[in-house]
Amino acid sequence: MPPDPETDRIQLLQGTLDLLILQTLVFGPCHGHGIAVAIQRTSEEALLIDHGSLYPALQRLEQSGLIDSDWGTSENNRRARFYRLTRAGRARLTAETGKWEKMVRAVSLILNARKQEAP
Amino acid sequence: MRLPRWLRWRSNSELEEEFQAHLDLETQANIERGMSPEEARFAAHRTVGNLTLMAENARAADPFGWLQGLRQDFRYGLRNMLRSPGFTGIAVLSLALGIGANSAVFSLLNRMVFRPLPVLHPNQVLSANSVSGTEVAPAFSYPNYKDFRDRSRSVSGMIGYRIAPMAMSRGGSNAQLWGYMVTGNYFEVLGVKAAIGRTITSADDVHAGGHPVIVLSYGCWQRRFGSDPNIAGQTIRINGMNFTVLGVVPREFRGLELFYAPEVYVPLAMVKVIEPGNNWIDSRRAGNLSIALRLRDGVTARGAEAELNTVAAALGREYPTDNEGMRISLCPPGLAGAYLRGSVIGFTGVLLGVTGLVLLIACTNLAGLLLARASDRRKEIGIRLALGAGRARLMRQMLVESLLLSSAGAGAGLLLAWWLTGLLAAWRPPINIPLDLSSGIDIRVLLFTCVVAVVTAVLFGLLPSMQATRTDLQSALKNAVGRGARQWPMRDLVVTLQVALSVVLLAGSILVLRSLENAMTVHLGFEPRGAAIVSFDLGLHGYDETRGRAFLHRLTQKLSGLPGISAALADRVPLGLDFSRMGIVVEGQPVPKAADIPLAFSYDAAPGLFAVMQTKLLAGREIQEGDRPGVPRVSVINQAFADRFLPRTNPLGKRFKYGSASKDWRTVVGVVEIGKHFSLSESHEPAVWDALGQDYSSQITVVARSPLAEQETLNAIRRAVLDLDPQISFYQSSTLADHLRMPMLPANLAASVLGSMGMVAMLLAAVGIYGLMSYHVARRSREFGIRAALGARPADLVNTSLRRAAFLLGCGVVAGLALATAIGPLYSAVLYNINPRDPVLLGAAAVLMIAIGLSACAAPARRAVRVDPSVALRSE
Repeated sequence: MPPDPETDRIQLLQGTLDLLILQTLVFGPCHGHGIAVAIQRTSEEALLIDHGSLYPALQRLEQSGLIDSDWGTSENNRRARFYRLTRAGRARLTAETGKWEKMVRAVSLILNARKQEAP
Repeated sequence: MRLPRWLRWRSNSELEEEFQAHLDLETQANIERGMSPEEARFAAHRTVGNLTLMAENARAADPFGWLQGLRQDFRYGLRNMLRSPGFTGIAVLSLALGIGANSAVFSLLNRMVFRPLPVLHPNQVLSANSVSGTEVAPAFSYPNYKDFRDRSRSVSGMIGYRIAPMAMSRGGSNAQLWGYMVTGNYFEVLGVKAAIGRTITSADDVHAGGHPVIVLSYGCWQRRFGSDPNIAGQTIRINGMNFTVLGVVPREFRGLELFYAPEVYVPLAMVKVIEPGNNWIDSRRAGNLSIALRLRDGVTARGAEAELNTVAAALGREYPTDNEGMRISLCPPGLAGAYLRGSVIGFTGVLLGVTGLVLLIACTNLAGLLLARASDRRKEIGIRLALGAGRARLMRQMLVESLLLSSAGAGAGLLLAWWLTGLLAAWRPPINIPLDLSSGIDIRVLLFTCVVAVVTAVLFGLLPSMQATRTDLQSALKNAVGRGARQWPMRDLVVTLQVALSVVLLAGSILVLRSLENAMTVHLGFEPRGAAIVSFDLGLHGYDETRGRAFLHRLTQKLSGLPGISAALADRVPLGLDFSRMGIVVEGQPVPKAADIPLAFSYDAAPGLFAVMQTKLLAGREIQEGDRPGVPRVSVINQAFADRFLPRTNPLGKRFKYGSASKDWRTVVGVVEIGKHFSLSESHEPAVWDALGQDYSSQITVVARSPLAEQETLNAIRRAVLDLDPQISFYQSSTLADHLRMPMLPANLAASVLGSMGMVAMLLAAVGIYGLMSYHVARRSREFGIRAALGARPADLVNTSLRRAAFLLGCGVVAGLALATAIGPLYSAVLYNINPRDPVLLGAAAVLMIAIGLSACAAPARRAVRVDPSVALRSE
């Protein structure tokens, strides 16, 4: 396999994007576009999903058995691939969410401490 | 049903559909946000980005995506192959030749070395050899066999067997059958069960002459008994005695000797019926029995060998006249113990080496062609590199193409190997012993072929693919000749290597052809042309010594009455598979240890034999009428016997005997010239002829010579014998020249196989050089055009184009000569009377190679001269 610079970038985002995808699918099966829109909308447009890196992430999640997919019909009556959370995915989501919250707390503690020292 | 996850990779169309759906949804959303349909689609494309790139990325995330890529590579490779059928044809053909020859030779080696015998736990079964001096042969006496069997602790069973011809009469017709005489425990120790009825057991081998039972081979049962299911219990007549058929052995079982296809098995207790008049069974000194054994569980071959040698030492002390100094060595069974093993496997090894070389030459040839093609594909490769294809990916794709070529070659090669082994299996040797040379293509041969195919693909594909992808983009895209200069040394190296390898093979072919010529003109000690022989065994037809002597007397009279034919009797003629050697003890000389008593070939001769054979009498007299029982025994010896045993004295009148225990002294009455007795490669073998009138032999060969055609002579002596007894069946009946085809076989085989390999190599090398030169000239046609326009003479152009080729040719030839000199001794296994480093013959190979190389250059050189400046200059 030739090393691909594109893949490198995806890997940087991977943890976060995977987590967001899993979280979005908690509310039920959804197709790729729906996931992207949902993340954007829920984050109040703060997070802009790179559509190009969405599908590799979905592919990876499916390969590791965290999500599953099937063909279905989209809201505009087109054939689209719907992704849904598997049992393993649900467990992973809980674990990852916990970790994420810990990290956010830790990072913000450090950032806040700095703010106090600065003046 | 859901496929396992790793099998569910997405096809391109699926991914495309998914992305299209995504794009549509985005467009829809944009329209809902109030954009015009046109704007909406553009905006959607902007957010989604490059669809193809997305698909690529998605595929890259698929851990099995490379399989998809590989499929692409295969499709692309196939298209490429079909696009240039000429190149593909040549490549597949030369690979098929190379791989096919290798697979065929390997299948032989496989049969001899790797494929287990169809017996129980075959790796426990070993063949025993008796070692005396430099000779290692599976030759034991029956008394020694019994002692080894009963005393050895490290073997769980020991069997004895002997190849034996016999005469079967059935429904008024006679047939010569070849079979085995076996000890009673034979099938039990080997663990072979009967397919029909039962096999011989120990109870069938107790009383001498008391067990007229016989077991048939599967083939014999099919051919001669029409697969009769009720065969067990029927009676057949062997050597005039009724034998009861016990059963039939399984189809795949053919005894322990790999290339012998016996028809029947008879208990050794019946030896007096099978070999009447031959008393070896009671002699401790005889060497007529082969021994095989099964190791006890947990005993190593080395351990068993050591233990058998202590038994042998004990036997040497107990029977010093027969056994002193006896040693034992063990080896895998199948090729007459260790007797043929070395030479047969050596020959096959040389063969495999040669076919390997041919394949290597085919590889270098292909590598050269691919290098040339790679530089033609520089533009294509340049474009693909420019579009972002990885080098590894491109190399993989080119290797896949090589693999496709080599797989096609291997497929065709297997067909070739299958045909070749079929040819070998159908081949009948110039003797009447039933041989089985089938080797067959089994899983090991297939595996070998696959490995060879992959290795070949890498050998000829790796270099060109590395070269091709190291392209300088700029000049490649401009299709300029540019910095292609770097490619030259590699291509030159390949051609030089090819020439070198071809010289090695060519030298090999010249050596074996010369060796065949030597073998054909070698001094045999008799004149084969114009003579014919028939052989039969009176014992097989119920003659005892008295009746036999009477028969021989009448036969001699009848033969002398044949007009224009001179004939004589002997027990056997030299250079047959059947020979007899006796230990020589000379009167007045110290007697060596039993195992060290030197041997001489021994024959029985009737009066007139040397005249008919045209063997020169050097001193004394021939065997005469007066050499009868009752008068002192006389012998004629050959010069080698005199040199070896009676040096520096007049041998006439000296006495010797066979073995230290014998009381029969024989007086030397004549000396004849040295000849060949066992193989063409031997030299100075001592030999003795006793008087047939004094030492009766039931085995008789009639030798006849006349100015008539050999075939007519043959018919005349056949009729003479059959007139006296129409029941007699001949185990040999041929011209004397045909009789020599068997000893000539190794030289013939070597010459035909290695000779043809040399031709193939030469052809491949010529194609390679031609290809290189053509390409060279084509590439430089522009330069030649300019030169011609500037006033270069044709001779200059020829010089320019040839100089490089001649240089490479020279380098290759020198390297090849060095290589041939280095590996020459490996060839000596198949050479007869030739120094494998003979400078004249090697020189001939070099000259031949240079001539072929230069003539391969002729056409391209002519093209260089004919380059039209105006065309060449305008071409780019």
